[in-house]
Amino acid sequence: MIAALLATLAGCGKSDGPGTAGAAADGTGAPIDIAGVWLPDASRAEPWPEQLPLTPAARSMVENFNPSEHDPTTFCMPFGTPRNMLQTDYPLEIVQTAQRVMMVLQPNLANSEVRRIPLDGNPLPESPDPSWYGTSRGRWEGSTLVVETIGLRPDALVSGNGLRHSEELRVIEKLSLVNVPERGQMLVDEIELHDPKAYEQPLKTRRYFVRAPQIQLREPTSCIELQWIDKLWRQRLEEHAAAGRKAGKS
Amino acid sequence: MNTRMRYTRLSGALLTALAFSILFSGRAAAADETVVARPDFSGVWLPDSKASGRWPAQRPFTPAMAELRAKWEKATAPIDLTRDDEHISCMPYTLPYMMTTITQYPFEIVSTPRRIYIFTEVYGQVRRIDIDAPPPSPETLPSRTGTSRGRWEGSQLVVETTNILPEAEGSRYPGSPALKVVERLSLAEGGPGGKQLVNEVTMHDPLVYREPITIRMVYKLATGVEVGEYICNQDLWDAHRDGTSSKIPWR
Amino acid sequence: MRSILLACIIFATLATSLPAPAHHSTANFDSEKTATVTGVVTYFAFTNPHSYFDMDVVDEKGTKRQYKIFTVAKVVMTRNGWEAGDLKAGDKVTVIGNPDRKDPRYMYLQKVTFASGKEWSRERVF
Repeated sequence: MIAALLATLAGCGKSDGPGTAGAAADGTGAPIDIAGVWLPDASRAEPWPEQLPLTPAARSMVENFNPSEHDPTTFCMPFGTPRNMLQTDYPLEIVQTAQRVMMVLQPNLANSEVRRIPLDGNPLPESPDPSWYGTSRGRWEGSTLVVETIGLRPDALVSGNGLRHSEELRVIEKLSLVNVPERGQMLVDEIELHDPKAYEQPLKTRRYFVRAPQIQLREPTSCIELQWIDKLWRQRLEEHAAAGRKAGKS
Repeated sequence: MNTRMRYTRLSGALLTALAFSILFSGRAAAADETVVARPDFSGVWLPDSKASGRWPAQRPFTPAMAELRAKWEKATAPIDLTRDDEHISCMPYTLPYMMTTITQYPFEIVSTPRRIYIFTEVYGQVRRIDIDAPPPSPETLPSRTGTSRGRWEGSQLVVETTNILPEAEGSRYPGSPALKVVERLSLAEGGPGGKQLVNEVTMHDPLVYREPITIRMVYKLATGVEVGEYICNQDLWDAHRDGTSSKIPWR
Repeated sequence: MRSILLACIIFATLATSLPAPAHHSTANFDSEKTATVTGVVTYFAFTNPHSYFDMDVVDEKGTKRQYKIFTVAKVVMTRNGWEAGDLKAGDKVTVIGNPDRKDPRYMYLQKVTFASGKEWSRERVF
């Protein structure tokens, strides 16, 4: 009970950034306040098992993985879900309202990644169009936010070393606040990947995040700029130079 | 004091603090709160191309800028605009153009007590407007969305944005490091969703323009619309994945 | 070198009262001309940032030619009344569009009448 009160008040102490005034005070009616900027804690990320229970098709894809061929981020495409929750390089900003939770990443790819998780209680659609971030539904179970996501593009990777998924992937996440000795309050995301076409059993992991209210997500765009220069502009540079030579300019 | 007493005092203190936080929940963040109802701009909005203004045909460039642009045009003509436009080649907008385009891509406003978020669809950008926050530190790096500070004036939100990534003199809409964008946001009745968002956008850039320029934008409430997943350069990935080439003519 | 770089990175001005630049410029299509064709869809990519479909059109001499029809983003289409299943390979459709300035068989979709008889127009979008 003391721990619960402490956990509640841990949020009260911080006055910078949105939504840090405590569970009830942010007006969302949510049991816990997870709004704000979080940094993934790589040291606490539970690794996948050494022997991944992959189907033969999925295993073959991992064995034949070539990043420049198969990793969409080399074309500035998003991490997508669940890679955006599994990565440990970029901060995650959670925006919490009464109607939904949004999870925002700006990992220096073409767009910001914005997961929209409605809390309206409506069921997931049957077969949503595959997308990078997926189609999600969330609900509170006590102080845990349970999120289900389907409709994920199979050309998105699960991890940068080639783990993939099929179009049947269903991601189940349980997000809650925990107190970790010597670290204080952390956000934990228990992630399960259900995909009978790719995994013989569900893959499970826990990822931890620490509050980082001093961090402002920025919009770095060097990926798209480099791609623009490399793929779209270099040819024009040559064309301009050729036109200039033709017109007698130096 | 023994452990039990300590816990009792601690519980008391915690409970009191908790009670206070609940008691004061839901109040507006500003210390000098007035009793004016502050509108909630939350929702998904689409530009109303008929009701919105346009940038002036003749822009009041400073003499130095006008000369620079004339030189630039002479040096670079003819340019094929179907291919040589940074935005059609997927460079995101800077301010104020993010807010003044009339093409039908929605944006979503999400309001939280001290920060208003604007999520755009077309380039997947995120604006963060901090309410009643101190000015940004001088070391703040520029970005396309800049650094925005908002304050309420009655039922109007005044947003000032600085630290906007400059756009060079030859670009369609040049901007210097001195650029400051001031927006005045308010709600009005009317429009298909019953309410409209009005944004008076003023560009102050003494290195580029002799005088400030203002546009009045009107956005209509787009009920039932969600900001979609839309990635400008996705055709390049799709073509690579499928072993084909992009079907977009200006690539 | 720097001025060339600048010239190549930064692009022409338009001293007109055009609205702030759209995401795309379809200036390769002649917006002053329209053409109408009827044919059978052979391929449809329903995607972002632009969807496109191919159709086989038989001309008055009986020659079959392929037309390529370019359109707006899937998110924009579905937001403005285009439903999944409205258009698919095998459908006989009528298309009104703006032809490309160089290739008349490459068109920017203005209006389409689907096999079901339903119509969709780009006017709703901009």
